[in-house]
Amino acid sequence: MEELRPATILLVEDDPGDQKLIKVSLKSQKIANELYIVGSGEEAMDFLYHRGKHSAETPLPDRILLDLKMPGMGGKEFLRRIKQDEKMKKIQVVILTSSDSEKDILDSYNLQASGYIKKPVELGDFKRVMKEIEAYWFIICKLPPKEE
Amino acid sequence: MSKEITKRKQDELKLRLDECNAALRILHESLFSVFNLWKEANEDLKQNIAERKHAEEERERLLKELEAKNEELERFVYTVSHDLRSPLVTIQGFVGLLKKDVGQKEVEKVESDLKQIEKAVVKMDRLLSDTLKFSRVGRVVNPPEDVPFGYLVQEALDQTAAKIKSSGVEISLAADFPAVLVDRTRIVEVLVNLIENSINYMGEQSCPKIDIGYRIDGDSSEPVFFVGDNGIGIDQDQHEKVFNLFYQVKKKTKEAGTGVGLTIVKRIIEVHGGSV
Amino acid sequence: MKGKVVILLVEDEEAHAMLIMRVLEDAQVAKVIHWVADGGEALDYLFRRGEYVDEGKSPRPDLILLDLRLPKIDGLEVLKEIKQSEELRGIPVVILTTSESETDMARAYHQYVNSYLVKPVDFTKFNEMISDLGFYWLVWNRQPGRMKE
Repeated sequence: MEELRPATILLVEDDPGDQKLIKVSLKSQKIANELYIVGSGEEAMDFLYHRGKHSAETPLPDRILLDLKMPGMGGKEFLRRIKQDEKMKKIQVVILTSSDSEKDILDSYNLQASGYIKKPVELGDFKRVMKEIEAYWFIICKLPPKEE
Repeated sequence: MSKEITKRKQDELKLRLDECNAALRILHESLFSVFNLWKEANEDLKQNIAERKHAEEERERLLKELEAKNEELERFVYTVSHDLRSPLVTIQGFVGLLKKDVGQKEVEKVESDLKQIEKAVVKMDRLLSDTLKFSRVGRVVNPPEDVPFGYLVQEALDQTAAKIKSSGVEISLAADFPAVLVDRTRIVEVLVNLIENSINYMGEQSCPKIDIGYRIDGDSSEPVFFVGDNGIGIDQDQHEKVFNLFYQVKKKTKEAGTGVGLTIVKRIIEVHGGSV
Repeated sequence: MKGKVVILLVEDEEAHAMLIMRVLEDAQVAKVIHWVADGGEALDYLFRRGEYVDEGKSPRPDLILLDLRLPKIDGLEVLKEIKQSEELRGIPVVILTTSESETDMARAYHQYVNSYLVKPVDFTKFNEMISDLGFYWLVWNRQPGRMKE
């Protein structure tokens, strides 16, 4: 098998505390992933389509970690939009949210999210879950082929 | 006086006219040679363009051919890498389990682990030899021979005699066969493949039969040869797929082949300019 | 909360199926692993047709492990039908294949596959991958109709 290549991750999360926590937890020794952080669905759209302050040519992320409850567009609307875009739909989106409601879970899968993880309340658990997410999504799973 | 002047003038004019004529002639000649040169150059150019166009067409054709070859190679490499890796996963996997089962002294499991490893090795070997066989088709070409098709059928039946006998298949042949111009060895190989294929996929048929014959379709003067059987058959939607390398319709049959047989058949027939 | 954890394994290579089941059993990931060997049977199971009409015979899986090259109906076609069905969409589908072809991968991603995994030849890695993937989907990931235990 080929060597692991570093993944490009886009984190869409409005809470600065969670942003920091996720950033620290995603620093694995195995691979140097490239992490970009945006604070809302609108900003995430700007990032993907190179608009506004994200007009610089940033790479398309391999995976998106997406919070659901955010001011403005919100996670679900963002998910709906990128899954309708032929170019973007292949990006896997893992929901990372504090919501545990059956409706949110169902809606997310109906919008073709790849996975759904509930953020644990306790710090130790949170770090552990992040480790699992990193190990699974960025080490075990194949990343989609890079576009030329 | 005036008459004299006029005469002198006339002479002068005549002289001028002669000079002019001479100059014109020279001009005409040089123009003519320029025209000739131009015409020649033009012809050259035309020919050049035609040649270039021809070369371009030739290039285009070669490019297309190359592309098709590339595609075929890509498919081939894909199939080989995918199919050859599969038994490796099996072997490594059961070696891993074997270590565990030996440690725990699970004699029965050890035996079944070993059996799996053995099966995978046999499969790997067959895949490799089939791959080799496949790569030879189309490269090794024997000169075409003019032979009665019946001879070829008989040769193929001789090669598969043991198998036919043990399977109890009844063979029925057409009364006579037309002569064909073919690469004899290859066509016999095609027939052997088709006959073996029929036997392998006979299913639970109580009186298995294979029918070898030919027919002339409508107004076409080309005979169509066939090897038919009353076995499990192939679903209509699978017809295209069976000719892919290593593809198998049903994996559950007792006699497992690698699935390369029909692909070889297709390749040989295509090299002969026919279709299956 | 649901009783038994069910995995549907769609794999045409018998030896691989045995291998995967052994690893999952040893890691105590799932109680019930239902193995089918072709794409047609997988769809019969999921859409409760033919021999799987009876719901007792076709309990909803919590995870589907799907090989790509399958007899009858191709793995990508199975994936497509699952992701187009509102009822089945929430079940994670993990492609488990020996193919590293970029075309296969791109196609699977376009059909909203949950994950794409390549079977490693090395058994230690194979073992690790299968048990990790089982744990990830069955312990950490949330799905509709399956509350946290």
